Amino acid sequence: MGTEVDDALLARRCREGEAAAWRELVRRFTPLVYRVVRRMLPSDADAQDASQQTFVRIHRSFGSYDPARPLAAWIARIAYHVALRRLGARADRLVAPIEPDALGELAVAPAAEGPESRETAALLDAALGRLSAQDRGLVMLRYREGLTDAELAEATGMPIGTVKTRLFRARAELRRLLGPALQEG
Amino acid sequence: MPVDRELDEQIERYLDGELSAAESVSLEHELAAPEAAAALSTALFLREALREAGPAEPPTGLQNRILEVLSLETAPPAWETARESEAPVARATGRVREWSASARSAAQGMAFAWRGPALAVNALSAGTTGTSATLAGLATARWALGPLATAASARTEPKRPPRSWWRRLLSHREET
Repeated sequence: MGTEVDDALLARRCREGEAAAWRELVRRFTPLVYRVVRRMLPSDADAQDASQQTFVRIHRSFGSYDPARPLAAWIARIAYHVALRRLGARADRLVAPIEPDALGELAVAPAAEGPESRETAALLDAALGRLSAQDRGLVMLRYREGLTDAELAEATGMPIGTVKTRLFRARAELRRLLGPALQEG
Repeated sequence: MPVDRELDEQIERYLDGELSAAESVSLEHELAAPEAAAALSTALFLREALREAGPAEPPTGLQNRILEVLSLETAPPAWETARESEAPVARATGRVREWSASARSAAQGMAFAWRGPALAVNALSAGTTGTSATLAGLATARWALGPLATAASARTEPKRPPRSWWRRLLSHREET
């Protein structure tokens, strides 16, 4: 495909089975899919498997995609559910539990050499690890991928009220865990 | 410090640009208070940090692996491909057989239709009375119905292979 086509046109071409359109779909949305599943799953290998599974599922169920809906949100929904299914019963439990004390030590440790952003990223990683996989998925879809609350509700299958409640609790937990770092900064 | 849920959600909507002008002004007044200001700066920090969080790029080769998996999804299995390549020949042969069977049936039908009126003519020419007329009628009927009888016997009786010359010779010698 020469010039960038919009998502609606791309979706139509994929529905018609155009091989070039499918290659473009994979190129365009692999980063999104990978980011969503990587944040929810414990390892990179898991995330890569889940990414492949996601695209297989997208391919098989493309007939059910409603072109009136944003394509990115539909794809994110599939990725989210693929990751949840892989986690099974662990989805609502902590995947990488980190002791709050250890996190506190990380937060008050002397600033390491190197860019401040690297330290912030490490802190945030550790704090996100304290959330359940579902909540991590919600946070990533909301703030990294820019989905609105309504789109999140559609992507996750949760009622919008539940989405708002879970996001509020996730933000509160992150504030609590990152509090010392935020105060120092 | 925990933040009130209503304030937290107002701040989120404010940062998303979803508040009306009047609501924004009202919130900005509230944000003058230190706790509310802290809540706003935390929200800004989290948004910024989360926006950058996570791996920006997928690992090298992941796209190719996905395309490979999808190509296996879309390609038909090998046995189906092999069967499909034979199908055109089989279809053509089948069509020829069907055509010739239809042609045979049509020809038999036409023969019967032609012989039907001949039945009547023969009966008339042979006379309408007596044994000769009856025999002529029976012969004509047998002649008219010949194609149907042949077809029926062909369907019910298996075709016998021709006798070899030496069998014919032996049976001829036995007869004589």
